[in-house]
Amino acid sequence: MAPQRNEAHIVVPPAGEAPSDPVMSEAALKRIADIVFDLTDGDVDGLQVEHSARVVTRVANNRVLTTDNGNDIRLTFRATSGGRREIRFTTNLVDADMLRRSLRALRELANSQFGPPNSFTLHVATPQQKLLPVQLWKETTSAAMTEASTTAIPQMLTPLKSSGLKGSGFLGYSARAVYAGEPEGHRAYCRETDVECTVSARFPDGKASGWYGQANRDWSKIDPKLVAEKAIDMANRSKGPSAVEPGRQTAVLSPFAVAQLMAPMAGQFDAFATNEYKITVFAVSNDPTRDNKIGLRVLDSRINITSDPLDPEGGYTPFGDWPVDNWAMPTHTMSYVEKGVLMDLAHTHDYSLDRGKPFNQDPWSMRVEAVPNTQLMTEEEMIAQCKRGIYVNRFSYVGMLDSPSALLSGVTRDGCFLIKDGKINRPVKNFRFIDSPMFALNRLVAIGKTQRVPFGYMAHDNGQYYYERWPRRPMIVPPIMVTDFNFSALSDAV
Amino acid sequence: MSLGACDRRQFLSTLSLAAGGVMLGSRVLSAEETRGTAPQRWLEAGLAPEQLRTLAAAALDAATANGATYADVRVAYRQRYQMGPYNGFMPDTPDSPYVDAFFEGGVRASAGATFGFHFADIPSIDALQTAGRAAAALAKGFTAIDRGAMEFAPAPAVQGAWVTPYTIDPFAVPLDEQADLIVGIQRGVRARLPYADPSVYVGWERETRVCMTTTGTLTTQTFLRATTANPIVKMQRGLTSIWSRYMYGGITRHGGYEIMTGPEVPERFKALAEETAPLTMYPTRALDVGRYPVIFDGAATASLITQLVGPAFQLDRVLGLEANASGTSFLSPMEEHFETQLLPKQWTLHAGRPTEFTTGAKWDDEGVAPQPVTLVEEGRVMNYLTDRQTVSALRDAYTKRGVPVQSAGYCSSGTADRPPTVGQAHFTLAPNPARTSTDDLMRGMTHGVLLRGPMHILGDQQLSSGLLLGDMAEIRNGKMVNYLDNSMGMQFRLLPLLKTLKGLGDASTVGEAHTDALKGEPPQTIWNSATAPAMLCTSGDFVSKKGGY
Repeated sequence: MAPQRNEAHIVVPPAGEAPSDPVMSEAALKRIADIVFDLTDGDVDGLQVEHSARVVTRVANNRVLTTDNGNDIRLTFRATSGGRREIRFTTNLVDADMLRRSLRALRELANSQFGPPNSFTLHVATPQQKLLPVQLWKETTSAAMTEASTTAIPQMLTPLKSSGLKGSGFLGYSARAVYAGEPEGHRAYCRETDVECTVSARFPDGKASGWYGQANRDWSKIDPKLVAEKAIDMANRSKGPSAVEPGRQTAVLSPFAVAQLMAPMAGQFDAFATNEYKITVFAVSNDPTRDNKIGLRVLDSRINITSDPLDPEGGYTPFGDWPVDNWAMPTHTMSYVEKGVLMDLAHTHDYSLDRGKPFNQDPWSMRVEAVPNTQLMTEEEMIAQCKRGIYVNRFSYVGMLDSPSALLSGVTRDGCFLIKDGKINRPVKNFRFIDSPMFALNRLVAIGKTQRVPFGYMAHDNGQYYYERWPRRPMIVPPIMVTDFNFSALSDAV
Repeated sequence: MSLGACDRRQFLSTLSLAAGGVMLGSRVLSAEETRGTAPQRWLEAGLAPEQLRTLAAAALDAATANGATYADVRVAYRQRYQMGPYNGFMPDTPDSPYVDAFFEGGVRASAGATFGFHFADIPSIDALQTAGRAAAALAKGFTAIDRGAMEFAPAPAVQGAWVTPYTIDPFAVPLDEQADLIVGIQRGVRARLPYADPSVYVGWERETRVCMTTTGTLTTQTFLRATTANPIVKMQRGLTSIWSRYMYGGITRHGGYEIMTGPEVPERFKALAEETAPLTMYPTRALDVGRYPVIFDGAATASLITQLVGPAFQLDRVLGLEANASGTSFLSPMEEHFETQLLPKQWTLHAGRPTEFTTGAKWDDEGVAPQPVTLVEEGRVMNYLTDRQTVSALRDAYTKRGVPVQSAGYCSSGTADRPPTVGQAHFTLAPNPARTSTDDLMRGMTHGVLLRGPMHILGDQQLSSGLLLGDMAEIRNGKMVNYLDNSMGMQFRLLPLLKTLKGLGDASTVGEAHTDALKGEPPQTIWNSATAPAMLCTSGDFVSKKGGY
């Protein structure tokens, strides 16, 4: 799956690289970077080389619909001059002539008069800054990318075909290697694997459905048969839903539902958006003593929120690896909320680095969990202590309504049940909700054990563009039980 | 005829005069100074159509040599740039431009039961042959597991080429000059309109895409897409934002730099400024939560179509092929809804792919020429958006109608390296032939709401309901009396809402909308656009969303 040798291109894996590796090694990407820096002879200040590969199989109506396999190399260049804002250029065309000419023009443009000089400080990583020793690569996944889908897909299809339901599914493996840095400065490399497996099962009349999914960096932790069986079970339990009056209810939210509420929160932790634009829930206006709520309790005191490249389930590349980030700048373990208190914000912008704050990306890899020694409950235990409420398997089409309050709206789907007197009473029709994870996590009744969850499909909404990117960064979340969750209207959607 | 640099500067000067006589720019650059910064200097060494065709042929040959019974391939070279205002500490300074250039290729092959798809993003014979072989191998492998047959409608072989007509090549206009245009417009707007916060982006994408099939189709299309985004002004009064209409139209278009600088643009700018400025004179207030009659202006109706109604007609969604991805449709299952009176009798909805819009093409991504389709006729569901893979589901209906079972040409890949899907259409809701202005629709309204589009709609997995957000005004006794602050949204179930339709506007009320949407897994971006008249519905549920934005 490594790129092909071609005389016109500079992408040539060095001898000795294992042909079965889906993405290039550090040595190979470094060689590309060195060749490009030599080629461009000082025209660029920074470069990121990313090699990604995926093996995807989609299933619909109990049959294989299509695959979506391949690999891609992407180079992003950066040039700055005279303290003016940087110019960026991205391409997957690694033709030497084209690169040389384009990057010469890049330098000319960087030298031109965009913005006043010295208005922008480019921060670069130094060799003294060490990267956290993450372990994001799993050989089980890498090996599975060549063969596993032909055995895994039948495992998914077999229960679907015998269920009498219409099954749709997704099994995607990915591998990614990224190398970034400056010509004479700091360099960074990381590689990762990931797998996501999801199934929707629907009745042929379209009146009920179920969904389940798994995500992990390690293929050995994924069980397509189990995913299909659980989706079928959820669909069967959802048959014959009845309408329940909308309104504020106690809600037991599965980890899938919690992940979909928390995913839009990533941008809320951005320091620039909070302190300067005042458009996040953590911003403070009209108070000359503070810009934000750091040090104040913002959530239930039983909640911690962290983002840690070393997280065993939620780890990620330990340096800025988006073109808008500070490339190769090391990222750190971040504790954003401790015992409900806001501890820090993500300093993704040079403005923050100018103020001596450590660089970090917005935490779209996130662990939301109970403070140690909190009594945890299973979903069954939460249901057992609920007199009346709604159990939600997952949401759909979640979007931000109002950033300063993190108010979201979306629709339940694939399993929504009335809880009555400590038991699941019956399946109910879906609801639209209008609520904020900030409000919900301040009305916490119970919290459970965390797990890595897949997102499933995420609708493009309100600039949540990083969730279009696949694979998505890990979310590790618990099931929760909250009071007064706002199910604002019935929805006809199934 | 192309305008020279001098004419473009004259345009900028005229624009500022139209906005109130403010001098624009801080310097004038000579042609020599600016020549180096034209985007095409960065992107000179592209891939010629002939090279793309050679690569496509290599992929197909490899696929068929490896056992594919059918294969098609899309290969493309795509260049793009965009530049906008720096919304930080320097409001009159353009932000860093970004520029990119990509090769994208994707091969789809069948061995009977299903498709295998493999993409290749290196423009080499080796890479495309590998992709072709791999796609065929995948198809054969899954055919061994799934022994059903796949229906794939035939299509006549087509050979041709098409290039977007344009007057000024945007890639040849120096970025410095484009930066001057942004700054000039923004300064001009602020000089003319109080509370204004204009946000102008300039950007273009040029893509040459070749589609080739093993049944003899070969199409080469070069699209020049204006990705310019240009709400002329956002005016802030307290927490309320009031948006003007788009200066360059609500739908992104194919065309050159003349879209930004055509002779009609200063007049259009002036007209929009004059239309929007009075809105800031209205008081703003919150509306009491409740149920009100509601008028969708043309752009608001168009938004409803691009975000909910239109995508619901994508036949792959109706058939459940997207159930685990973007969702299904309120038209599912097809057997229950086809040829039924589901929508208002006043609604006749057409789809097409006119090449003036970026949703348009001369041929789709299976090489089929898009046909206009009447989706809804006087409220009856009559047809769907189809491709060669899905149209077979309509075999019985088409046979009864005596029409061939052929794709209508709505197959799209967001980029050439993504699997084809059903999507990308321009929808047209027919206006009322009887004279009915927006004022006429408002006339009988004692107390209601006017929605000023385009609107943003949070939908659901079947596109059957939503929460609608955007600019709203309060109507009392037939006249606008207040602008509503941004604390409200309209919650609705689509079909019950449309059942309350009382009136449709005429051609004078027509507005535009354009929406990006995601389809497939991993997701790819598909566009929809629409033109539609205003409409009056007697019942919209207005809820509070607390706080402004």
